[in-house]
Amino acid sequence: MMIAQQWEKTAVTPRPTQAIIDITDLRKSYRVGEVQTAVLQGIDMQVGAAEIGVILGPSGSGKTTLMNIIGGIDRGDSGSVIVDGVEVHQLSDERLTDYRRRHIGFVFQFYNLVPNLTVAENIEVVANISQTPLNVDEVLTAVAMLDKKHRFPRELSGGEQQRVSIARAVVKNPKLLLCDEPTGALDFETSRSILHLLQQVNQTYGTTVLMVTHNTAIAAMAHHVFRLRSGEIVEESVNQTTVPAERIEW
Amino acid sequence: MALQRRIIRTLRENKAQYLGAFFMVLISSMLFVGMNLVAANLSTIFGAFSENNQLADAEFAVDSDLAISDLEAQFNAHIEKSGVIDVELESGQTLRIFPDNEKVNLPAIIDGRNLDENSILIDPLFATANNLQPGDSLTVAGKLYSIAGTMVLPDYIYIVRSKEEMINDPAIFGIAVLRRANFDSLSGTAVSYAVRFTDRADIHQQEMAFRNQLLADRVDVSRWESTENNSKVTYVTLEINTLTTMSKVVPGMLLILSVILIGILLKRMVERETAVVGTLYALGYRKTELLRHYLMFPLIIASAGGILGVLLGAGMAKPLLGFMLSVFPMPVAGYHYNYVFLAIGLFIPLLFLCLASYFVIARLLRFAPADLMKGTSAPTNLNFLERTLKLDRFSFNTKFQIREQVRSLSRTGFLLFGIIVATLLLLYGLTLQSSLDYMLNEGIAALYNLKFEYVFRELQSTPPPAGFEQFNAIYVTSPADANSSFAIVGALPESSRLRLKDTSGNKLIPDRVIITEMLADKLHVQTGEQLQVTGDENLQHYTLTIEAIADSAAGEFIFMPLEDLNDMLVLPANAYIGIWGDERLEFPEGVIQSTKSMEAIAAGINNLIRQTGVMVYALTGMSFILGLIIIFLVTGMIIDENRTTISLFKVLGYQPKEINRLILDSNTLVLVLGYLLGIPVLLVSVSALMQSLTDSMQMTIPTRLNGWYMLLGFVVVLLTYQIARMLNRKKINRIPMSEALKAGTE
Repeated sequence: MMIAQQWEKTAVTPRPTQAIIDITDLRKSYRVGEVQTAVLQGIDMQVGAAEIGVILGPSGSGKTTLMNIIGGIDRGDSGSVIVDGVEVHQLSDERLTDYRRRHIGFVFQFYNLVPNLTVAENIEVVANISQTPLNVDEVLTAVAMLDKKHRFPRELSGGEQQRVSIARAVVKNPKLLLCDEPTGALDFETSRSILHLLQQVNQTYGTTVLMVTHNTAIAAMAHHVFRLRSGEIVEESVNQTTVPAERIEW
Repeated sequence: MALQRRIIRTLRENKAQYLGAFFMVLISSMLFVGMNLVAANLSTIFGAFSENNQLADAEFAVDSDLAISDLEAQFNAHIEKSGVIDVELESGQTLRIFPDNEKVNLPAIIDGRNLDENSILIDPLFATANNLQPGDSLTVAGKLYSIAGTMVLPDYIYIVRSKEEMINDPAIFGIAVLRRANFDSLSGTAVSYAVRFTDRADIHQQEMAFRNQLLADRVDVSRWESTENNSKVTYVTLEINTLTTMSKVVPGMLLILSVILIGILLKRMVERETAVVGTLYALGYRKTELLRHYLMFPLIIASAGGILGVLLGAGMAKPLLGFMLSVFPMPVAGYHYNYVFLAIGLFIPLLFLCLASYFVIARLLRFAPADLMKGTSAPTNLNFLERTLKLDRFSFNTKFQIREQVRSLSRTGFLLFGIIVATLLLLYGLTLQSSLDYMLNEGIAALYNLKFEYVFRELQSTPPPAGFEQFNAIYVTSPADANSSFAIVGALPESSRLRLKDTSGNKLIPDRVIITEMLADKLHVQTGEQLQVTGDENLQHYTLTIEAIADSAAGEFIFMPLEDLNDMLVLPANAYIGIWGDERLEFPEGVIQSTKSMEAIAAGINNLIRQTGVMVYALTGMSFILGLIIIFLVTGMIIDENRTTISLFKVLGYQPKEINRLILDSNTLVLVLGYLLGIPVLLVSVSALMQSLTDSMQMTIPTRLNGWYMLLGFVVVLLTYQIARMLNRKKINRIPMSEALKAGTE
């Protein structure tokens, strides 16, 4: 509980500084049979360090693809993606793995926990390959899952699994936390607690959080909001004041 | 490490499948190590025995004394005048006695002391069977000897009375050695010579040169037996060769099976875990780390199975060798563990399993993490076969079952190959038994209408005893197959002792040159064609015109009129070497070279059939277990792959019985196909074994598989299948309905 309490005490509104994500004219298309589908059509975007960014858009707008390319688990066709000074689009497969290993934390919509590892082990699995991991128990305490550390994912609710997923992403103390529809599979109350957790991570560690969602209400907690439609950013806005997650309604 | 803990859990969750693979590796390594160690030790022991005790390269009989020293000098060889005599003991046994040679075919004392003028050495099997101990007395040809101990002779390792009897009965037949003076005092001994060349290369050529010299010296050779054709020695080499071959083939097949199995298991696992792999990859795990993680599975299976298999194989080798030495007694200097075999037994499964797994995993890791997390690499698309098949006209059940098989060709291939191997093992012994049975009943018993065959030492010309029919014979070799010789038998044209028929079933009599079908096939000759042969003893060349082909499973023979054969051999028309009849005759000592009793031959073959029985049961048991493992694993895999479907069927109201039928019955066709394909593979491999038996034993066994045995084999395979189904039924029953509902949410 110590870290959680510490988070509450040190909660501050972070001020955007220099851009940690700098994307220029990013394009990506998929070929399915004879059909070529353009998913991203020249994306330009910047997200400052320690910001919370939200990418809003309907299904098929390309937001997950954009997120995957930023995270180095997919590649763009052209354009440039620079994250924390690293030109992601120019990295070899091996260097890309290193990039993910050092800089990126992922939170997925369906949690993607390893089913036959316990809660603690699912976090250790990432702590093991990190250079400066946080203490597993402390992270579990922060996400209020310490008492369930010996349980397997199938013994947890969806919200609990997502908490573990966040703990797993946070334990490596990444610069950038990428969350793909983190509340997409959760009910309202659980979703709010998860968003609260993400906000705490941002405030406590200064971690940049980039979230993909179709839920427009979540935009209120972000510093920077991007609206994506058919592979293009159609609107970009900056919130001067952000709303605490527990006050978000939808 | 967290990921490593997952390995044990995964192994535990899929224990049946991994245990199956583990057992296959274990059996494979065990058989490889065990059989190879036995073969290698047997080979070493045989090599040392041949070398230390100067095994002759040939033994022969001539009509006059040889100038031994001259020949020894000329051919750089050791030649020893030896001899043999069969003595009937008072208790009814036959003891074949040899003199105590000093240069060639030296006896090796196994137990006891050296010979003196009042003692005799006997073979250990005869001693054991007749409860004779060193120090006991034995009366031989009226003289009382003390048993000095037991010994073995390098040219009599397989102690059998004649090659036709095949199986020795040490209770009634044995060999013994006497001091030369004692041996010479026996009346009626047959003189023979044994030669061993000092230069151990090109023995066959040296032998031919030696024989040509004898011919040039006008020495009449009445018997020539090359050691390479001496079944009492070659049976040992045959066993070594068979063991060496089997030690590669059987473990090899099992290893292939386990490699395929592990490959499939890993493929299934990583495909099922595509999202996990993708997640780990996305979280920053390197390809090499993921590879290392997934390679732990084959590594654990192969090391555990390999180590245990090597230990068990090494453990079983010594008793197995002891058993072999009880059949082929030889002096043993020591037992050697060949570390190369141990290393191969351990590392080959490791290498193959890891290599197969590496390719499976590396293939998956070619995909981007994002694709892996979406699970796009899993084979959700229809394969070529499934797309090509037009199944519309079939019922739902049939369509479903066909799709189950074609959906995973590797799984179906594994089942098919596994059933072929199980069939092979299952029917191997049965075919051997069936073939021996066929040779006895359809071959020897069908060809000969007689009870006794007597072969004289010298050619005879007086009329044979009443009721007996005379014959002459010569052993020849054809250039078409220089490795094995066969007999040309001259019989009376109106012979009633031979029952020959042509391939259409019409009766044939030896009034013309008749070749048995087996020999005609081997030498590729047809009716009307000429055949060149060379006499084994006189090295003369002859040309025969084949006039008929006989359908006989008795072996490889040419029959022709007695007078024509004598004419060909430049012998008097009425000359003969043996007689056939139904009564037991008594001859003065030294007149008869050999006596064959059809009853004894039949007993020998029956004995062999009985002995193969043990092997048949062992192989049947092994194939049953193997089949059970394979079918159980494959049905288990099908169930695992269809968990959601099974669950959905339950939700839709299918009865467990109906689901069982749909899921498990799809293997039946593959099972039948595997069994049917296994039979030709089996016949080919047994024929190869029979061929090596022919080469080593100078005995021909036709390959036959009795219809009843085939049916029996099929029943065993079906039984295995039913048991595997029964074991898997519970697994289906355990799948909850919620599985389908959960799957639908993602």
